[in-house]
Amino acid sequence: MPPAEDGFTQVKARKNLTQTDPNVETPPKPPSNSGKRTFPDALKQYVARTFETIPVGQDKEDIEAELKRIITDAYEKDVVWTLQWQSMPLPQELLKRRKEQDGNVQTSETSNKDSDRFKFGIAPTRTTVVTTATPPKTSPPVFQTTYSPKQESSPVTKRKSTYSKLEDSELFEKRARLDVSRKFSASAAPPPLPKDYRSGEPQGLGPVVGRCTELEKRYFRLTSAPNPDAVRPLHVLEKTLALLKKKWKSEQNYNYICDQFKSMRQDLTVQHIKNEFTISVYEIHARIALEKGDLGEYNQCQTQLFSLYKTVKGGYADEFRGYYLLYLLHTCNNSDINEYLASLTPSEKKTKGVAHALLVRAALAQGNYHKLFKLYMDCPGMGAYLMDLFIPRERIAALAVMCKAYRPDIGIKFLTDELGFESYRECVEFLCENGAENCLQSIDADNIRLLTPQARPIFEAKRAAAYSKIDIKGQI
Amino acid sequence: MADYRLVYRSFRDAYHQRRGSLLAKVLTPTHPCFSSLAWSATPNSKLRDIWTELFPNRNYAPCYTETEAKGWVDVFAAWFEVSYAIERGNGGRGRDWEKAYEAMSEMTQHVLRGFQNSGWPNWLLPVLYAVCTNLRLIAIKADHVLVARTPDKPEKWEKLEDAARLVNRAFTICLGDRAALEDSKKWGVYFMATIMFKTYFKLNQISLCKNVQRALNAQKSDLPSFDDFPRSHRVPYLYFTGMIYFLDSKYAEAETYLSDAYRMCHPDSIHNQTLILTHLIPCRLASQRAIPSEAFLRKYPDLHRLYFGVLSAIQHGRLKEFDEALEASEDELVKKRVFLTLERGRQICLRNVLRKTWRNLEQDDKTKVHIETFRIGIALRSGTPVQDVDIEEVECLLTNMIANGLMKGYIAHERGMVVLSAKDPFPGTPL
Repeated sequence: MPPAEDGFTQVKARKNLTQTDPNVETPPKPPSNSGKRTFPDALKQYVARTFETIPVGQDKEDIEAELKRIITDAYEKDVVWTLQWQSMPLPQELLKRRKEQDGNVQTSETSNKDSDRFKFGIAPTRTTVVTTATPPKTSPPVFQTTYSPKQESSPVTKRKSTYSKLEDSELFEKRARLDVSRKFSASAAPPPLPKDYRSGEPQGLGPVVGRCTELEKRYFRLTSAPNPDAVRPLHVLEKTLALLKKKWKSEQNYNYICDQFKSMRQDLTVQHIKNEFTISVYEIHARIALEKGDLGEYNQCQTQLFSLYKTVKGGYADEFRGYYLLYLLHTCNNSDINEYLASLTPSEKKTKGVAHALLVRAALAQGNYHKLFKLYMDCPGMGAYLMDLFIPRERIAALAVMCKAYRPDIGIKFLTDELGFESYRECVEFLCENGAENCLQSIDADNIRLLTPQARPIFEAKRAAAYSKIDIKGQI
Repeated sequence: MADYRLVYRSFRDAYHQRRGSLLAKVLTPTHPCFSSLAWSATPNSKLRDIWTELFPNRNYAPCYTETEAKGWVDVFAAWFEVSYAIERGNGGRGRDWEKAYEAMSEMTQHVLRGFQNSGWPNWLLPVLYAVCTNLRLIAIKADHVLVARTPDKPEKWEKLEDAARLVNRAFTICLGDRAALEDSKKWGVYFMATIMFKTYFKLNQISLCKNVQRALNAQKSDLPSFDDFPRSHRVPYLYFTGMIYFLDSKYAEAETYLSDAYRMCHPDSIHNQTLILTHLIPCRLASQRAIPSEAFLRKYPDLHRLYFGVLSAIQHGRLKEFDEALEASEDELVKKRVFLTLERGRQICLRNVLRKTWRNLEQDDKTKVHIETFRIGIALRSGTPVQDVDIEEVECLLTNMIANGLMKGYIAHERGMVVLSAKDPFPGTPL
């Protein structure tokens, strides 16, 4: 499937906070579609008004039913062209009036059903509930009398296939994701609303205030304005973080943890929360990503962290400043390194992590592999995970240099020490992996030697490949 | 205070004589009438006032049509607003850079419209240069004000980014002009490209310069020959192109462009020469291991101060001095983006240490040198006790020397020996 057609393109951007789903957002079908019926423009506008202003607390199905009843009525009484639709009260108003008369029985029932429905399906057991509890809530296009099967099914199938492409984890039932997407596109809102809450207000002006109380939530990339019911407020997120820390310790399931942290970060972003807690969320996620070698996710966190450190106090800025330099060393981007050096203050340069990273930088710049691998052995914090990224490349570079300078051979023992390998074995394996197996000569069991003239072209070619983007490295 | 009417008179004269550079002078804040212009009208009356001043008696000369004349009234109305904001803004205190930027941006748009829609001829290009230059400078001022007002917010170059978009439009207009060469606005491309470069350097988005270069390269065959452009357009363009290569660590290319820029630079412009040499010297150090003479450096006091210590330490193989000099001016060197390049000079410094050590050897066979000997040499020259110099590190430094062609020979690790080439063991240096 081409990327443009992934599951999310189906979801249309919402212009308001109301519970809409893709089908409703499509403008009313032209009369020709229904064959025999045509509609006055005023009625079309009336319908549009109805869907624009559905309050969050009200059940859409009821409103749709009411709307249908009104229109059918108008047809049957043959007043559809004469009725003053502009001044006609909206179905939700009619319903509200009726409810006020009947007393409020309906709502509590719905909210029960809904809160069940929006529990997150993390364990497979939970998903059974989800599946049974979700008859498709998609409503028919207003002027269509039957569901069009095409419109009904396309978002579903698309999401399914996207899901299977994106996620190989067995943990989550496909349905779970489906449900999440529905949660964003068509949610009902059981918790009580603030009094002055107006549903039709345009979004995106100010921060959202979340009302979700679930601790866990799957990450779903927003395609429309966030729904406060699916967003967890700060005090819930604090509990979430505690829970996730515990889970990470006990389960070590990176796919799950990464996903959960992404959804936390999203909730923080949409609520414009920027405080110490935000920093710790990003820091913890960054550390976990680092540990698992997920550089992409790590970089996202790191970028956010540096912008947070500028305005918010707290966190472990010194630690991450050091990591950032190591990260830049991995990317070999000299201008970025220069910019970063320019931005560091003298006191920042003295902190443990930064000072170490600066030494690493100097060692790299001078081709001083001896010092480099010593620093690698003695790396503060989680810096070693970052150094792991470029250590193989630097070993190759060092081997290229050594093969040129040493003759006729070098002992594996010496190489093992100089290049920071844990054992002879690891060293020999590294040499073999890089195609130098034929350049090894075994004098006796304890003395294996690398024949440098033969190995030199191999490592020089490898070095050129490793630095293909920055081929000046190592030259003066 | 010079009479503001001079502005309009100068305009009419310059326009009549088709002298773009004279006309452009009228539209710069350094014009003697700039401040009196601010008092020549009020924002409400400006259009009427400018009409009567610019074209007395509804006589459109030197313009031909009313539309043409109106275009200029708009330009001058915006220019009046710029002067008003700078001289009288802020409730009379002046220097309202944000307002000035808004007016400047409007003025730029009028000028762009003139070139794009009203067929302004290419002799008016100096007006475009002046307007874009002012736009950039005022945007920087406005951003400083904005940043100073909101110290909590991370630094942003809001106005300058906006200015970059306008300047880019101007650049595109020049580049896309299809008129015959003598009438073409293509003559403006290198000047405009330079303004783009300056802006992107300031915004720290140097990678965007590549878009400008790419656009120029794509049009290369349609452009006039580079040598036919005025020197004042070529030198800055060469300088920035060299800088872009320099920052990419492409020292050979950088050296070509920077040397060209240096060669063509006005002999009296010590400032511009200093700018060029700031990068050309490290460049030649990195690519050719060349060090300028002290006499040469003395011509440029700033460069002498910045580089002399480091360079003479390299030349005389004084490791300790080198490290100290580099550390002492690290901040400034980093800011000038030359630190990482200059740092590579340590290898040359080290080579000189090794050569000196080797020359002073009193042994018959000078091709076999103990690593220990070099260790002592390095210790002496870096001012550290011998026991603090790691012998393995020395060996590592020696391998780098050999691999980088600074020393000819090989290392026999087990014997703790360097076997040097009998002929020319330190290539490229006098024995």
